[in-house]
Amino acid sequence: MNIDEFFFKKILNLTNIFLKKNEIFLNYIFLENYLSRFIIFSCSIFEDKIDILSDDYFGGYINNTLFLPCKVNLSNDKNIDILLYIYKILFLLISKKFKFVLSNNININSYENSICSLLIINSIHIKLIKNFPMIFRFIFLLYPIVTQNRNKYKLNDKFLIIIDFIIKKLMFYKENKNFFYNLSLKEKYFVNYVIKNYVNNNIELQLNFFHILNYLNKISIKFINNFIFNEYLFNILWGRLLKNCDNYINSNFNELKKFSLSSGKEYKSKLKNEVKIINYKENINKDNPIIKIIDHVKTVENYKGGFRDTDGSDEIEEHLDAMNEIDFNQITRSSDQTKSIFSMDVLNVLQNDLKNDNFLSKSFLYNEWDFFTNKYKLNWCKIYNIHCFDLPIVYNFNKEDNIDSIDEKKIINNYIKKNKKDIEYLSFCLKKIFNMSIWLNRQVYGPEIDIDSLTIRYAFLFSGNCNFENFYLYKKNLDKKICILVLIDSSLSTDSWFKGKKISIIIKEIVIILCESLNKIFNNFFAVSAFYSNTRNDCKYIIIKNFENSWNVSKIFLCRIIPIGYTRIGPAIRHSIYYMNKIKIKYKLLLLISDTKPTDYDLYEGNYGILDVKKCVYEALVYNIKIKTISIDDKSKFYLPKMFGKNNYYLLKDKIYIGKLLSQIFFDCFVKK
Amino acid sequence: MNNNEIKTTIKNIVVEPFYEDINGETDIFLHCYKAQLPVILKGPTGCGKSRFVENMSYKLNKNLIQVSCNEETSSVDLLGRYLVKGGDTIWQDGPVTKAVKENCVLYLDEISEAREDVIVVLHPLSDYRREIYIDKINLKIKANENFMLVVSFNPGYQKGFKELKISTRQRFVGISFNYPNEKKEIQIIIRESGIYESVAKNLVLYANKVRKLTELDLSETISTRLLINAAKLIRLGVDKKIACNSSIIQPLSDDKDINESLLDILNLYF
Repeated sequence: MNIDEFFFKKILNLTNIFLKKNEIFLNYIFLENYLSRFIIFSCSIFEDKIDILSDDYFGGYINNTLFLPCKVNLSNDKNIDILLYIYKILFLLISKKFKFVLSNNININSYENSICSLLIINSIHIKLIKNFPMIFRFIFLLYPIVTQNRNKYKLNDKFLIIIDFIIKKLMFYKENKNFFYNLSLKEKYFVNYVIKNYVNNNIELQLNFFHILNYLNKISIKFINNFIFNEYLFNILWGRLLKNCDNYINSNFNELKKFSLSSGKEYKSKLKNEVKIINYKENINKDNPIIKIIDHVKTVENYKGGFRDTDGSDEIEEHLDAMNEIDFNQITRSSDQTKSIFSMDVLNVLQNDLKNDNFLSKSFLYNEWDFFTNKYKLNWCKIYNIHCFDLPIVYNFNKEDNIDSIDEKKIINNYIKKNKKDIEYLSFCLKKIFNMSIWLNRQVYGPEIDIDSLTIRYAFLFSGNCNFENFYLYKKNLDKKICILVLIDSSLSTDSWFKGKKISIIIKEIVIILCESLNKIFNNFFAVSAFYSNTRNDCKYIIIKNFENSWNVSKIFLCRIIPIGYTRIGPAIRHSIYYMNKIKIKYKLLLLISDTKPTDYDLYEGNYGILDVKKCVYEALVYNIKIKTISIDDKSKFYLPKMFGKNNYYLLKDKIYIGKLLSQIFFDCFVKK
Repeated sequence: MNNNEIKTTIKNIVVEPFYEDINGETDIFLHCYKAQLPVILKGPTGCGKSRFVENMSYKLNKNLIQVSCNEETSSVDLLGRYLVKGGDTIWQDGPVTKAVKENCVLYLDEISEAREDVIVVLHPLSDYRREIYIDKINLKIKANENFMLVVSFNPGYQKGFKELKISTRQRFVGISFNYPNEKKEIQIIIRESGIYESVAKNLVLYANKVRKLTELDLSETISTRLLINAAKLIRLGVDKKIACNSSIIQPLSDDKDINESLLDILNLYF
């Protein structure tokens, strides 16, 4: 064989392998494509809020979160694969209802666990069929695939025979002839015992199945220790039971969690005048880093020696006198939760902060809505105004673009160049929208006559009761005097990925496309701000472009926004409302671009955060400010309607649609009323 | 404004419309009629509000004037207007004026959708005064004891932030409607469509599963009306799944994911 022939053959082989791989890849169905469908389905079955996350293994559940395999390819029929997901969801939900713990850990899998799982599955099946008789149809459809898959394994192993038998029973398969052919007497006795007591009968779910294993040991069937029972389909369908020891760890963990969430007491210290902020690095001493927690402000234990236990015990009351005597003049910040609080009024913290971060210029206090008490928490959140030109220069755009320099102007121009088509499309649409004219009826003057109004006038004149002069139609162009504030989320969650692209980059691209187009039409009358937070006392509002500044000058500051902190949306919206209220223009639009739910680590989450944002929307309506939001999150359609109302949110499904999406927002906002 | 824009129907109900009492609302309504109190019906769409009013009109032996309000409905549309006829103008009574004059049951459906100026009509008519004032012809008409005012609105309607004013709401006696319990809903479906009990039961089980779903964010959920529509199609021989899909799922949502998951749930019952 010549060398060129050899290379040709190799390349051909490699290409074939690659093509085959792609073929397999094409047949897979991916969970992410069906996520919202499955979430709705599981919420309906369980009658509670259920979240679904993808899992690299075979799935399971923790609290109200189901883990499903990220991709499945059992047959060429996609419907069968979807059916398998649905079966898995039903199986997990019933397991959850009856508190069976399923494990994902392949390493603990053995035959014994498989048999145990199968016995429990039988009970789950019975419950499933009782609730949903149509599940029979699913199982009949799945059975041929299960058996086809199992035929790959040689059924000479005793355990496999038992497992196979139970599976057949589970799938309502009736042909069991010659089943006992390979079994010894003892094994036959065991199988009979299992069938009689557990498979054929309607066993109660509360039974402890581990005693079967002891029985298994007693009748001395050879155990194949450390054998990993790893059948792909078996795992996907039915998973594994968790061992007792894991359950124990779980219960301990829950106890610990309860303890850490229990509310402690609050103690007050004397007022201190001077406090020094210490930069605390968590990784320096991981074993024993903290001695006390003070409203998210901690002292560092190894700063002046002295150690204490970090077992979570709350002894603050016992040490109160001693703590009062200690001069707490050195503090640091941490992200951990507080329990009991030893608080003190500090006069100079803000000034110290200002010394450290010279870009902090002004702080504002805002109320926050507490849906538990149905009241506002007055002056609850402190928001700091930061001007973007004070921020340090960072290179935070896509590194794939191979821009060596950190010249902000170059980076932005590169992105404008890249999104030129979108910018042109949006500019064209905006021009079209704002050059659109609408006919107003019942006007005092106008080029056309309003026939309906004229008829009414005629009737009034005849009756002699009313002076009705408004019978003209007037063509009016849309008002270009609008004020737009683009508020972008710069929390750490934007550092994640969406459709193969970083969310922070997508957000910045949206801003560039929008602002470049707006700049051509509205003569700079728009603003861009970003926000993030670290608890209620430390919300940041970064002004990238003011209403007065020029976009051409300000756009480079977009590079300085980096993903950091949490997403406390409420104060950011309230601060934006405050800003926009200063502008005396009739039409105001606040466009929020975010990727996640409102979250902050001082329990600003769930319904609390959602309802605070909802309250903000009402507050904005009072001042005639429209709030629209663009979300870069597949699951956001489940919570956005609660926050912004049904017609006020838009989901970014693909990057290609940015221009189209933005033009749709403007059309909905200013034309379609 | 054209007179066509306001949808008014005048019904003389001869045959008793079927209505299954759920929470003693029939009694409350009859007592309100005796006490000359206006009634506000609250409840999701398709739960039987209009049927209830029809049933009550039959029981009271009265004509029913029903007005479907929309965002263009104003006080003028309700009270009346001048029309040009030949070389002259004539006054045409609106549905409210007509109902007050003829002692009918006046039913204003979706009142929260109407323009704010309808309170000019509603407030004097719904409190102790029980009268309307028509400014264009300078006429005040007092309703007698045989007149009954009923309004309805859907509190959970998410179309906008429209809510009924407190001052308006407090003038009415409120009757809250919801979907009937499983047993009664099965009976209603069987009675309305003539379908087998087993199919009706599955329809109701399916509806109850979806009704508990808050995640869907549907403006309205599966109503008894939708179930009856599906049952009627099934009764005529349409395949159960196709019937449910076209009469329940498709009218509810246009979202592909939501429709598919509703179909998945349906597959568990049919």
